[in-house]
Amino acid sequence: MYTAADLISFETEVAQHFAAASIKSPVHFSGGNELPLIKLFQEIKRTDYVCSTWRSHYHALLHGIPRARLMADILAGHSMNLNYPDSRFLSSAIVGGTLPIACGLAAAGHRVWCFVGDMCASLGAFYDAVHYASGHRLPVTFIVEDNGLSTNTPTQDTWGEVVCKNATWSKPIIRRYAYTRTYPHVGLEQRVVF
Amino acid sequence: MRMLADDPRTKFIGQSVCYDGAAIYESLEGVPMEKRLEMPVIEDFQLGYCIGLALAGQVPVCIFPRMDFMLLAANQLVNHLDKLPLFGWKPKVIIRARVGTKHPLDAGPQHTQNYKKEFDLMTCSVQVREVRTAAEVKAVYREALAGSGSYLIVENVAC
Repeated sequence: MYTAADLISFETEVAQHFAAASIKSPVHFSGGNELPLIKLFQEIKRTDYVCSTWRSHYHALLHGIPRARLMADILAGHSMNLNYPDSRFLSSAIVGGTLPIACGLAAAGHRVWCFVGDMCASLGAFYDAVHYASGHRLPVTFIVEDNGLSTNTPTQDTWGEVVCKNATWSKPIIRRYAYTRTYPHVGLEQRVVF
Repeated sequence: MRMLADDPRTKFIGQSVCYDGAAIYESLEGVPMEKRLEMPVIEDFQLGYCIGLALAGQVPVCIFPRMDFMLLAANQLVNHLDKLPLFGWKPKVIIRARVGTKHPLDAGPQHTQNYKKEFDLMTCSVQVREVRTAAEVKAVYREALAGSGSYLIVENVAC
């Protein structure tokens, strides 16, 4: 199992490659959420499905994707679409796109963990998936990774007043943790010349 | 549809598949009820859900009674069903979309459109087929079941 230092070290290495312009694709770095993820993945079995997003490096490492293989794929430009069918690891760069897929996998009898951001958790697609999964008692857990931002926009500002429960919904199949990201939405703070 | 139903991997998913009163229900005559799953009116979710089943080895037959409604599932079709094979996954979903009839009753501009060409242009791995006769229907569904990958089958009986 990885420690927080291990995860940070991995992402720091990726950042060094990115800063050197050796990764020819966008990279969404993970950071600031090491401890909640390490704790969460203690519950997630390797036989479970993990559905992730465009920011998936930590999820992939913690689900058992070999460090060297993951690094190679990121260096090859696949950071936004890291997928490992043999390890039951799926990611998508479409907001909320994996929500129904997670439900389908769960309906087929698999234990599924589906990661989303706080903007996604405030959308209708999230309501649909949670509504359906709860109603059919599907073995899926939705994890809301709440950094308060959607790309660089404060999520709550876009909605105005909180008039809908969706954003703060509490259901047994929803887990939520808050964190402050240590990297920008995409890339690094510095400009990289390719 | 019976031919598809004989395959143990298939499941028929959509609206009006379990409840009588619509043409889709009638078209599923002979398909056992245990092979059907009634969905809410939730097109994007419906296709995504079918993709999930397909990743687990099932062959969902994802049914849209009007092709107009499929626009609401275009996200899952174009961004996932069509692209997941590029990432190593091998989902097999058979999408069945009907073009609404104009004769003897014209269902109007939101229930009669045929977007076959547009979906064909937007996809690279999903096979898009249009069928107009009973013979074509049988042949294309047989091909879809036996072939690799996913199919979008547009049933256009209106022309």
